[in-house]
Amino acid sequence: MVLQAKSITKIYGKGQNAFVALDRVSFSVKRGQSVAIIGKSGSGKSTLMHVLAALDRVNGGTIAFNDKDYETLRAGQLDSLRSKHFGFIFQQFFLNGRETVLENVLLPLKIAGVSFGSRKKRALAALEAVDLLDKKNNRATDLSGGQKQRVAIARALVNDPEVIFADEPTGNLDSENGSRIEELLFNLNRKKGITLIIVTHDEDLARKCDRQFNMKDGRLTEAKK
Amino acid sequence: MKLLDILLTANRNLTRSKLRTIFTILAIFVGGFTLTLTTALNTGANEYLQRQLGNVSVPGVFQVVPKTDVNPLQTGGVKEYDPEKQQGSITDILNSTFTQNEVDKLSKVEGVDIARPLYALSGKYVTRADGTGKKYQVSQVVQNIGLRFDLAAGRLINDTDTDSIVVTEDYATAMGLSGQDGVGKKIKLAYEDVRGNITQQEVTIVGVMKKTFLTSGQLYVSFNVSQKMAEDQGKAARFFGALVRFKDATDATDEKVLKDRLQAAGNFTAMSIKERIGTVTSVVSAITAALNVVGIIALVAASFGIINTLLMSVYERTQEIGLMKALGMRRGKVFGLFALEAALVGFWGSLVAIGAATGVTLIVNKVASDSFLKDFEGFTLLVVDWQNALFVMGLIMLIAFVAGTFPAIKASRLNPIEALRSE
Repeated sequence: MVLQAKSITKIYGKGQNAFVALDRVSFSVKRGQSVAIIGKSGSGKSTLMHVLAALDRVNGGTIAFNDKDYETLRAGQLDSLRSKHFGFIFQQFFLNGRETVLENVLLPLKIAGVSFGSRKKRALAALEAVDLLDKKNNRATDLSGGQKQRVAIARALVNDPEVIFADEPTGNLDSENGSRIEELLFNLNRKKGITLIIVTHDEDLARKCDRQFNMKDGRLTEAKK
Repeated sequence: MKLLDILLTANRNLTRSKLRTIFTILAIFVGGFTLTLTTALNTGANEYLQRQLGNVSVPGVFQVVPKTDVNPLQTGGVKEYDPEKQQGSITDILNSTFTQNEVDKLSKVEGVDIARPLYALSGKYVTRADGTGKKYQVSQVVQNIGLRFDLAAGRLINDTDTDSIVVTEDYATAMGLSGQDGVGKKIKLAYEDVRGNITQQEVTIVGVMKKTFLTSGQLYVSFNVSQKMAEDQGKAARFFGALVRFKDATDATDEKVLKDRLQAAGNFTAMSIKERIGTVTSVVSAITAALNVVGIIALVAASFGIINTLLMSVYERTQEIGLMKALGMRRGKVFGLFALEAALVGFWGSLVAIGAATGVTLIVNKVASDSFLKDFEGFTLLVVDWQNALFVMGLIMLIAFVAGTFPAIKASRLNPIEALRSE
């Protein structure tokens, strides 16, 4: 199991105002699977992604990546876990508009402390994988939405992650660009064996994944195919 | 993230809001510029004093005067008279209350080589012994106290010399005896005796010393000359102090021990030559220290500018910081990124300030040496040396870094999820 959550609980606020975002959620993903988590906004699907991606701590239960329990790791170790093994794709892309496409893709390698020499080569390879090599010196603001998300994908895969977390990756795109992004993601999943965790409310996208989970009021159920 | 990456990223972030960065740097510049100039003034003055006086002081030579424990300004109120306690006031020095008795006491102090009366002598004029030249006014005739002045020709007066004199270059030139020509020549030193008659004393020039601001207008005579002058002027029995020299004193000698020994011998205040010179340099240091405070205040004001600039930057870049933290950038590195940005503002500010101050220094020095410092040969008013430049730069970067810590802590504590959610 690449990711395993056992009876995790996440509560926001205290006392009367306490809100249970995750209610004893158990969940496990095998290496190379593509997993979709669907649910309405406020259902807790984003919270689930955040805790699985070690961006947030849980109040109860355990989460493990490759059998390593998050609870036993210090903040710095969780940082390097994300830096070395996870990739992130967001609905709003979160590119730095003032910098070039190449600089944006380089960022995870800089953070991970990869040497200057191999950095550029790897970033160019990632840009080639999303077919944007010719835009490498363009400013990120000058790109279209679809292109921006492709840059984000390149940034997510540049550090050779085991898991890519994608939060509504096609949410801000038209159907044509959306399907191109989907195609890219599933290609990575198939060819490189990268595990995909996609949070979405797009049922068509969810149906293309190996497994589908429904999130409702903090509870998770797997939809049978 | 590697340190070099953090440095490059921080520097690039500064260039994003150029105008804002420039104004922050300008605020730093004002403080840095002031500080560079004041330290340059301090260095310039001290270098000059060092060059003029550095070698002058002879170890183990003290000037001893009566102790003055009555405060002439009477601050602290009127004190009761105590017949048991010997009292002295500043007027004791002015009234010349020292006698041979005190000198004898001093000569018995352990380690003392020579103890001699110190007279306040006045002269009238000097002129060539052959009577061919003009007469030149004398302001002060000084007993040879063994100061090691720089010489243009000849040598200094030693203990065994009699009827000898050391003159400054300007006297030598006036009398037409400059340089090597003057050495060995006889001149006449004229002074007024106790009855108001002009007496001429023939003396031989053994050395010509370079002009310094300490020595201009002074003539140094051998002990026998000063003694004779004192007798004629009625100053031999009571004089203002004594000159004491210790045996075998070197630069490594602890003069404090010798000073204590002299002061224990009677109601004396002893001061070494080094101490007397030290009072001059400490006045210069005090003035420049006061000016430095102005520079520091400007820098403290500028540091609030840095805090403001960086806080705005943190708010503007909240999403970016959130992304970097999500991608695994550690808290310490986020802190480092912002703190370094502040230090870089300090670096650029101080670099510009030091550069501009150096430029100003060149102009001011040129103007000064052509006008009010004309008579102070070799006095470079402002000197920016690399130690001072590094000190100013280090200080400014430190202040900037400290100012940057508050915004940097704010940035490092951002929660990545919330930061990414912010618009």
